Amino acid sequence: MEQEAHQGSNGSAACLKVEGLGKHFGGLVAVNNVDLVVENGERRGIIGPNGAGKTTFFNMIAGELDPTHGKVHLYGEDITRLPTHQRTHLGMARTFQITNLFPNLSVLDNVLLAAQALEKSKFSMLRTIKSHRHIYQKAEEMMGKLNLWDMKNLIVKDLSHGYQRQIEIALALVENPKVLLLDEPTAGLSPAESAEVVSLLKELDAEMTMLIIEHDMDVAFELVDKLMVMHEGEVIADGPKEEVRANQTVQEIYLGHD
Amino acid sequence: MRGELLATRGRVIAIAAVLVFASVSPLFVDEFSVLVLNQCLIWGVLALSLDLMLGYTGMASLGHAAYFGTGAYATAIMSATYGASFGEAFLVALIAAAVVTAICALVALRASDVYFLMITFALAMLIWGLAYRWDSMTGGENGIAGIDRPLIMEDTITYYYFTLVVAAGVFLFFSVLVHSCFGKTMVGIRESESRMRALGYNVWLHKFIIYMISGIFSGLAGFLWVYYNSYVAPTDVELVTSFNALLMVSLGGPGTLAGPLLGSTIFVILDNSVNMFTERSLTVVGCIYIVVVLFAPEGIMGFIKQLRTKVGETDNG
Repeated sequence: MEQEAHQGSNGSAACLKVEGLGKHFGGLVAVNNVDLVVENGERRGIIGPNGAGKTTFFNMIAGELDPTHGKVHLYGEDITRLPTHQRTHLGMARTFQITNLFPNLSVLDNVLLAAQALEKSKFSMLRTIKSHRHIYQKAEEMMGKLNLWDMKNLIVKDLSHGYQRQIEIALALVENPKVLLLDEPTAGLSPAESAEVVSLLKELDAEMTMLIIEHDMDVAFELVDKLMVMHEGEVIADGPKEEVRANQTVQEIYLGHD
Repeated sequence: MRGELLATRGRVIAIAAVLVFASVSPLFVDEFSVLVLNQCLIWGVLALSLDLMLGYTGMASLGHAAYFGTGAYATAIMSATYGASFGEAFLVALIAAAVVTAICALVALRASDVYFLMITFALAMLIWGLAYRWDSMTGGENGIAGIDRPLIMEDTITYYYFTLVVAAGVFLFFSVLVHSCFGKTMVGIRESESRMRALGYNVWLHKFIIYMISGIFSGLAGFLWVYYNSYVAPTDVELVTSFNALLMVSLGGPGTLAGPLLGSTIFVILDNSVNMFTERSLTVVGCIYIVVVLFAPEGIMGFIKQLRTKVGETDNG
């Protein structure tokens, strides 16, 4: 605890620190020189119109894309070139904007695959996942929390979009991450379903750091403390949400459309 | 739950029935039929190995003749050239297959999807080139003949039973494997690689391990084939062998274990009977492939499963 406090005075306790991050696709500058510091336990939103570079930025933090320039630090460690799966071992988890599950497997098998991902037993060729009690219990607990247990034997591709979005979150949460990256968690949901997801996310452990891309302004304002606004690959505003809401430029390019 | 139990019971009964048939039938048929059944088993082992990659993990390889052929040639060279025993040849065949698989996997795993298919194909052509051109080692176009089985399994029926035990062992191991923790990760990779990475799986490593298992067991099939045929030639390593294996899996049902065995059985019986009437058996096989892809893309097992679901639905309604 003391050490953490000590690190804090160094300024290196920031959960996530991004410096001058950029991505060029040929001549197209998708993300340009983005700086971002997310403190422990903070809930930070990233908003911006379509094509602002939010998901590209997100994928560089998650490890799916190599940045053209800049650095990403997680708890003071340089993870800029670290493969995706190793970032997960450092406590990072993510969801996808376009639902990315194991469509032909049952709900339970989906969650079990996530629950064993950080365990050594994933290489066991003779035992089933279910025979590892603690992994099974972890999955059962998470599915119970999200009211998914009753549908454990259903095949994921047969479920409604709303349920699939919930499983999307379940897969990330079952690994008990310290940092959760959410890419438009309410994409394509009805207002009622969206409200359910919001209340679910609000109930999560307050110590969990969250970075959320969100299209829906109401959702973003409800979930986060601070907002970063992106437009054409650049950051045009970053700060407490009320400040950002009052920002003239932001209103013009983003909120002004309504 | 009851349905699951019934399905398990049905599966056990089916496997037992096939085993009983496979053990008893050689006693009642002529020698040629035993030879055909033996072929079914050997190609079955190759098809099962390929299915781990193709059906379970979603890695379509058009190069399994290479690992099959490496096992076959290593066996032949050890046995005919160096006079090694059955057991020694077995060990060297598996090690050789493992080494070649590892090298091919390191290269091929840089690509995925259709590019992966093309690279596995190109690598297999290299192995074929070696078999064809490296005269002093492989006997070139003539291949290597005179590979004798140990006296104890010299006759057709005994060797058939030996192959049956090996094939049953492979089937048993694979059925444990695909239901294991690791087996689930294979299916996970087939379903979504990017999700697997995000969850914390080193997808490359998992694919490499699966590739190794698949390659080594293909080498085992090659070993069985050489002692069955007492002869190996470049034709065993050529594209047609890779393609046939692919067809057996697609025909029977990728992503199932019964499928590859069913596919290899149908394929071998068909191939042997078509050959009696025409030299154009490849044309016939090609036509079958097109029909399968068009009308039963999940193979025969997939077709049966679909039918069962439909019947189940009408029962409930």
